Amino acid sequence: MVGQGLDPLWLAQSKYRRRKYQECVDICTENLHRNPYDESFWYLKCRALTAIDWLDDIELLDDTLGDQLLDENAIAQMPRPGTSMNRPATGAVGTAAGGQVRGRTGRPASGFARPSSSALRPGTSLERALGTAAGRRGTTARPVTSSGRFVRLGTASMLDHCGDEFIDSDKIDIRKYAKKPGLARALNDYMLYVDHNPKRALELCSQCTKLSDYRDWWWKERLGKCYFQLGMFRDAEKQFLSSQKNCGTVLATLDLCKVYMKMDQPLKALEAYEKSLKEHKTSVSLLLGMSRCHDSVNNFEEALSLYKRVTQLEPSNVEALACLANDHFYNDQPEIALRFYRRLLQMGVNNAEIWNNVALCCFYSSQYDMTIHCFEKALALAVDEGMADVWYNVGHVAIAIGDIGLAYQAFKIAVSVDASHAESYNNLGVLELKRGSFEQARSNFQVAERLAPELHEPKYNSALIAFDAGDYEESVEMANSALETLPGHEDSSDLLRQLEKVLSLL
Amino acid sequence: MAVGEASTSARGEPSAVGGDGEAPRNDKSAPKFWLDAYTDRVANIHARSDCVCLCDVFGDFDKRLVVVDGSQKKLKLWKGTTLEAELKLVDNPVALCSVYGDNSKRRIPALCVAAGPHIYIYRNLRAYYKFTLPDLEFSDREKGIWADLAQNKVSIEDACDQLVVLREEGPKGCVLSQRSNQLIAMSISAEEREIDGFVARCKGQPVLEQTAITCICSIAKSVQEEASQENLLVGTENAKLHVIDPVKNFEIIQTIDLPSPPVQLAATGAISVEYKVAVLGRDGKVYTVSDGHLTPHVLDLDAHPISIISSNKFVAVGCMNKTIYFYNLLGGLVHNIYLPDYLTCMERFSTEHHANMILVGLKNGEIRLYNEIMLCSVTRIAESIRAMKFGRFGREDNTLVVTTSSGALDIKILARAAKLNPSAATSKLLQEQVPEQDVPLSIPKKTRVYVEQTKREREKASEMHKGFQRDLCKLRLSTARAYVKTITTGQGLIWSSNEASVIINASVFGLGPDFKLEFTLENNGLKALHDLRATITFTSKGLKLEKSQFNISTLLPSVQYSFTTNLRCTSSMGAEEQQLKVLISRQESCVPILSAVVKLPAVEQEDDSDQLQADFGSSHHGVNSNADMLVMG
Repeated sequence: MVGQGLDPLWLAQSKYRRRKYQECVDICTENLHRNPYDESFWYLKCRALTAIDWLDDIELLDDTLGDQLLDENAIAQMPRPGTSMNRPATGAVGTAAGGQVRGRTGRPASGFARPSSSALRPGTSLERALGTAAGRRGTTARPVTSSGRFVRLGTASMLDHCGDEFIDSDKIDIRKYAKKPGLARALNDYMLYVDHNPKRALELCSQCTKLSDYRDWWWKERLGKCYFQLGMFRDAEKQFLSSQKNCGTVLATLDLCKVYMKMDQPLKALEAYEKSLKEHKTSVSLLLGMSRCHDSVNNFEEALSLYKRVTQLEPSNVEALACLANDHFYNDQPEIALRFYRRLLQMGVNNAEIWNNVALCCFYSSQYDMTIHCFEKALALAVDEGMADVWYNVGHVAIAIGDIGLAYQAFKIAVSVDASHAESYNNLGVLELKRGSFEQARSNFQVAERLAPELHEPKYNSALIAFDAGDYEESVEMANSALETLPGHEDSSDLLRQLEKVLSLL
Repeated sequence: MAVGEASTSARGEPSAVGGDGEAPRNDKSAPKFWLDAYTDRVANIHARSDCVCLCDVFGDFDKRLVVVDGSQKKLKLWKGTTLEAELKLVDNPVALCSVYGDNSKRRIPALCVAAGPHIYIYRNLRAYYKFTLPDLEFSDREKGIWADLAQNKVSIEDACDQLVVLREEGPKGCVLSQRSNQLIAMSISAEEREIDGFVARCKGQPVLEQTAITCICSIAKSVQEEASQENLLVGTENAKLHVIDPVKNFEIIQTIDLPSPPVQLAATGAISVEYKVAVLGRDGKVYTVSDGHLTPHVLDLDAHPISIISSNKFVAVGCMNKTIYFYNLLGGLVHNIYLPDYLTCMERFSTEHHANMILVGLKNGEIRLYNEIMLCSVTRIAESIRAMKFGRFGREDNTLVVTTSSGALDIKILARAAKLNPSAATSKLLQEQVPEQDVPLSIPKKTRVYVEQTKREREKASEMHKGFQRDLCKLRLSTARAYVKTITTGQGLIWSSNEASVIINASVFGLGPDFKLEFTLENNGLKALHDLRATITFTSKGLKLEKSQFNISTLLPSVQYSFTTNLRCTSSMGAEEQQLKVLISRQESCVPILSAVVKLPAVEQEDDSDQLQADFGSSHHGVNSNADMLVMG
């Protein structure tokens, strides 16, 4: 309801400030109909549309299948351990007692699901990536290339907004707009975020950079962004570096490090972060970026100390708190983890995952009365993928209590919810073995192994079953592959030694 | 976590087993044994111990490292830490040895590279001479038979019979040529045409064959000194050992017959005085050749041998069962050493004050030095060891050159302060070292929260228990309900009943808009299942399926059945995710027993204007449609 007598421009601006972007757009469109050359409405509409579709692409490290397939950037094939995300250092810390949990879709060991963490892990074989197995966990039908995803979103927004096209990027006159810096910036953002046309945005940026005499850090940063979206990482890096020279901003550093991570050079990213931290000592985003780098190369200790620094600066940072809580839990201090989760709950984080974690912490710190209550809350809030995990944990608790029947049911529910939950299959196999159904157990282990070849438990279990059944060859094979997956697995080595003795007697 | 346990601070020191030349961990003040001189991870050397040699190639008292690489057919020369020269070899090398052939004032050795039946001799790194082993001799009668065949004087069957007779009558099975053996084999199994063709091809060619060299070794001629004149010992595939004198134009002085082809030779002594060669045979036995003839002395080993070292006091054989056996000169087993991991190579270690020590390289990267039975030092490198050579390198005495399985080169120098005569106690300590025992368990600190929580537990014990039990009952109920739901609606991937259990696995291939859906069924039970039906359902309209219903008449146990169908995704529904369900049901009911859910990846939108609407309507919704109810009966 437009107030009578209110200046429409003022109203539109006010709506923009109040984040009622759609209404703002409507007012602007109306006024533009009347006077298509009104720059102020044009500008506002541009900004509002951008604001609707704006993605925080600093955080978005979406590495999609098509990009990986067609990635022509040469990445070092044999990197030294610890210098590349493809070959993280097998740190002594991380492999305590069987190693930290790292799920198949890169479910983070650090306790915080980042936007990139559900993408393909570097190193997944192409066949597995291409074949969308039944209900593959985390695959919400990944779009094939990142430009594909953007196109999708772009068209969706177009459908929503307008029948008439607002700006046709291809036909717009770059030079005219380049001369008007304010409009140019709005236009540039529009082209990057709404229209997803980095080529035109690139032209505009380069024009404006030239006109501003190569001194404006903002244009260089946007130029770098365009190069990044087009996949030209080295050029992007150059632009970000020169932007930093003009004016060392946190934004440029974050962009720069994103480029380095894309090029699989975590150490360089760390250097860049360090340098920038000297100027911006209290920037939480820089610290978080650094700790993510450390996480990706399995440098957990470093990451942890950085998270602690983050909490000192910003006590309600969800990521840092979650990672710290996770670490405490896995280092046998569930009560501390519980305190962190309580803080997160106080901050208003309310989803299935956190209730699940709280339940587990309660259970392991012997506060049994709270455990099941939290599980129920988690189940109530859970969606498909999370639900399987919650049921899996319920099953674990049941085993700990000793209620095998409950555990069996819980695991069965977990697999029916998420057909590729390999851990549940493994545990089902063990329970079947307890019951005595040998065949069932074997088929369960096989399924588990097929679904998750990076877990060593199903392989070891299959080896054990084969050994008991007298199938020594199979047992040797499985034990060896279990050792390959987790070198230093004592039980597998024991089994192999036993097998050696048996086989040498033959 | 028992209450009242003394809290240990933080975590224990991380176990630092890596690092070369590290002294035993409980004796941190002990000096280093080996000094790391040079490591080159990308040296790309793929050679075993007998293809590596430390040799004074140019006679300038600066010993160089010579490596013949079989995979690259190259001879590489290292001076110090740099690759000085590379030569291309004609043939794949088998062994390498340096021999001081002549009596000239300036001692320049000849490098002998054995390949096939030839030995290529290089002097001053230039090709000098090519020595070829003499051809194998076959009996005249055999040659006569072939000559007759060539002139068609005798038929092929007769010739074969004669050859067989010849083979059986000779002493210890008279050795026939390959050609004869092949003819005999062909006469049994092959066709007439092939035999004729074979004989025709062999017409006119003399019965000649060459053998191959397996190992070479140098032995002093008269004086056992550095750079004195030497002879060459060559072992061949046809179980012979030749003694060759380089001076007289590489003439074979002596030939000794061995019971089996030799794998490695270890020689001590001097030719003109008295010498002993310990020969490791391929049949797993150790033979001794002494002063020109084979002694009746044979060492039978427990496991297959890998390497042998001979000295004037003992013979040490490393075997595949992680053991080293020491035999004295009379052939009696003196003692054996058990190793923690598999042995890859052994090398003799001798300095001016100590002799008769052995260096052992293990698969886990350990280098162990044994003085008789005492372990002097354990050094570890990162990778499994492939070859070791000890001796003078450059101007440095007592250098150890190690190559690893990844092709890296590691050069170590013996530290001056290294103890080569350890006491029995130190040696025992070294052997029994288990690093994991020294790391204390990392128990976390007892926190205040923890103490408070235990207090709470003590105070509210009965309420906690009641609450927990009550919740547990509720949980059991809800779990049971959910479980029943899954059974009755057939949502799992695995289904099992008394007789059979079935697993389904469905996947989608392709990048769109054309996909291929494949699902596999496997019956893991003991009985076969009959009359199953598979139906594919989906909810959105933008899909076109080629075939959506399958009749599965039988599922035999342990056989994987796979079914495929093509599907096309039309452009209208590109933005949403699409799900396909594959339902397996039995004859009796329309409630499926198994189901699998497949998600299709989103397709990039195409701009085609013709919207092919899928017009399949009801037949795709398997469970609910009437048509299907009839089919399923």
